[in-house]
Amino acid sequence: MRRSLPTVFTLLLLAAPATAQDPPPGIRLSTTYETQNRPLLAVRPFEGAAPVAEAIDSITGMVQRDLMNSNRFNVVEGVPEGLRTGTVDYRQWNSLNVVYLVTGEIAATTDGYEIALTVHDVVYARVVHEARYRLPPATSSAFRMAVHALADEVVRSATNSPGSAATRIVFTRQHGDGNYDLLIVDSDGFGMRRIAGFGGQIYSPVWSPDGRRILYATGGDRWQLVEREVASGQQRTFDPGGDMIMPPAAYAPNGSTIALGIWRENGAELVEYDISGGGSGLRRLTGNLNTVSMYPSYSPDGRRLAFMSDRIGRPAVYVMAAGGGDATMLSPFIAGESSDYAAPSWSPTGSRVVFHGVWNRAMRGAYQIMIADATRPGAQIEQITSRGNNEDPSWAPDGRNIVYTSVGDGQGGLYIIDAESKTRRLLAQGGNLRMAEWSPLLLRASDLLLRP
Amino acid sequence: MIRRLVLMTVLLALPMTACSRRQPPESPQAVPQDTAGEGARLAAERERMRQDSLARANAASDADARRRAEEATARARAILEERVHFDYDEADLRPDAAETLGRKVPILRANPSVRLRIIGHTDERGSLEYNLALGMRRANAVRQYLGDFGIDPARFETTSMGEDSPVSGGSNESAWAQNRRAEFVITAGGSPLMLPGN
Repeated sequence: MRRSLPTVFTLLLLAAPATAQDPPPGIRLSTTYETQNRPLLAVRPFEGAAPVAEAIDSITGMVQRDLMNSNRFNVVEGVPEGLRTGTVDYRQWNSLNVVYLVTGEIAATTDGYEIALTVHDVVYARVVHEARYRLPPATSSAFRMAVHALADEVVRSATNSPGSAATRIVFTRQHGDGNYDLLIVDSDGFGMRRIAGFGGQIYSPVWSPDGRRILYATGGDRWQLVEREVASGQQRTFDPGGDMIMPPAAYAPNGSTIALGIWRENGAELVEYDISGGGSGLRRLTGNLNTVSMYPSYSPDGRRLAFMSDRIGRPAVYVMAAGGGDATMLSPFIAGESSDYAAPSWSPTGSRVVFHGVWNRAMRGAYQIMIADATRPGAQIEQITSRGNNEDPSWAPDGRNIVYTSVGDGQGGLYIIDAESKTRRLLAQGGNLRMAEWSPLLLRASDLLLRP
Repeated sequence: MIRRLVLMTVLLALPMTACSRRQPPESPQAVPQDTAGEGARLAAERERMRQDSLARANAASDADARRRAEEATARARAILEERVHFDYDEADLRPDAAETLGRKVPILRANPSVRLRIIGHTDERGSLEYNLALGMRRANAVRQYLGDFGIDPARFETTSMGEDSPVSGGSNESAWAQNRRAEFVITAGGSPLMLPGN
């Protein structure tokens, strides 16, 4: 939605008391910033000869920032002088309450750098990960993503969970006249660039499972789906039929079919559509009689689908088998309240589903971000934002961080929030940035490994 | 309608005595003393005047018919293109919307080749994607309502612009109320249009 900051402020002043309205039972307000249980992590400045000094600063700084952004650690800002070089003394680090330590050595090569990366568990006084990787030169367009992949490797070896630094976020920028651009940005906010413009509406970009393609809907006389290969810019278009496409679409994990909403006659139905050229065509997943079903999101194993439907008279989030059938309501049902829940995004690492909504439709200028567990429909859900209007959440591949659009709580723009600690950071400023989707991991450290 | 009939009659009567469908009155008899040539010349002169009057009367009634047809087309077009508005988050038709749609029905019946595109719009609140659906729900509610009067739904194409084409750029209830609407575009059979009953 297009909204100027002063107007939202006015709306909130008129509509809400100073404290946030208490949610009903079934929704737990959980917006407190919590960092007590994060282990301390230090990145010792990487070592290397003088010619690589600039690269060292850059790489050390990027890794530090990525580890902070992972929200899994309290990253130590400054390393004491005496501990900056030489053999690692675990007892000294332990006395500083540091749990994880990252060290590295960098050397220049003919086509970039070699880095020996070590991750130490200080408490157990041992190395948990040690390997050598090649990096492209700092002038290469592939440099930053390679360094991000190393930071993800640190996260993985320390926590046994995936990181999310080697990723990008795709989103649209809404101009006032109904025209849109398509943009991407690296997970750390760098490298924002426009990848497509269109004399009309661009809606709901989504990433293919291999991270190579972006699928989005374009408006005009007839809405179409466009699939664009990011590296080459090549694209192909689809028209799945029906009266009108109801974006967003969602790739099934196999990458050869998509689910999407299609308007047909008096309602919108969810369909599965073959984009691989395999010829299996179109399969209906829900009915459409005077209802709207749209907003599909697959579980990581591709067996289940979260989606939005207004079959009870108002938008709510449901879960059903990926082939269709009975659907279970996942968003809260509160008799007598005219609620509005939509835009589900299924966690890439498990069964949590994040969505936006309001339990009272009169509050519709103030959507909040909520998380439910698909294995426990009907259980209390968690509301993780409470100020301003927050929409269109999308999980990072770490199953922990969420990118979403926020206006009315500070600057308007795309924000990233950690579902655990509720830490929030601004990714890209601008109240007209919408429909952000987080990519899968685009590069892994194992792709950079130097064989001994 | 009555006024138009009166106007027609007056217009028809105006071409003075030389009504296109009546013979001009006889001119007075020539004086017996005139030469035959003078009489023939006068007769030719009278005939020319008669033909002129006839032509003027025909032209006036043609122009008049054209003007009437253009007025009818403009009036019918305005009724067909008149927008309807909706309540917040609703696709149900309010009484004022039903009344506006009811006025379109006789014109659609009188002009069976007319086809319309119905475009649903929303205000800016709510998510972009659901507003696309809400706009479609509004366009289809209009199509269903007209279908209940026996107008073939195949004559309508429905589409939605969601919140992306507001008529008013404000962020207040007045702007929002104007933006929640269905618009109509004539896509075929729009010229000329007959008013019902003619």
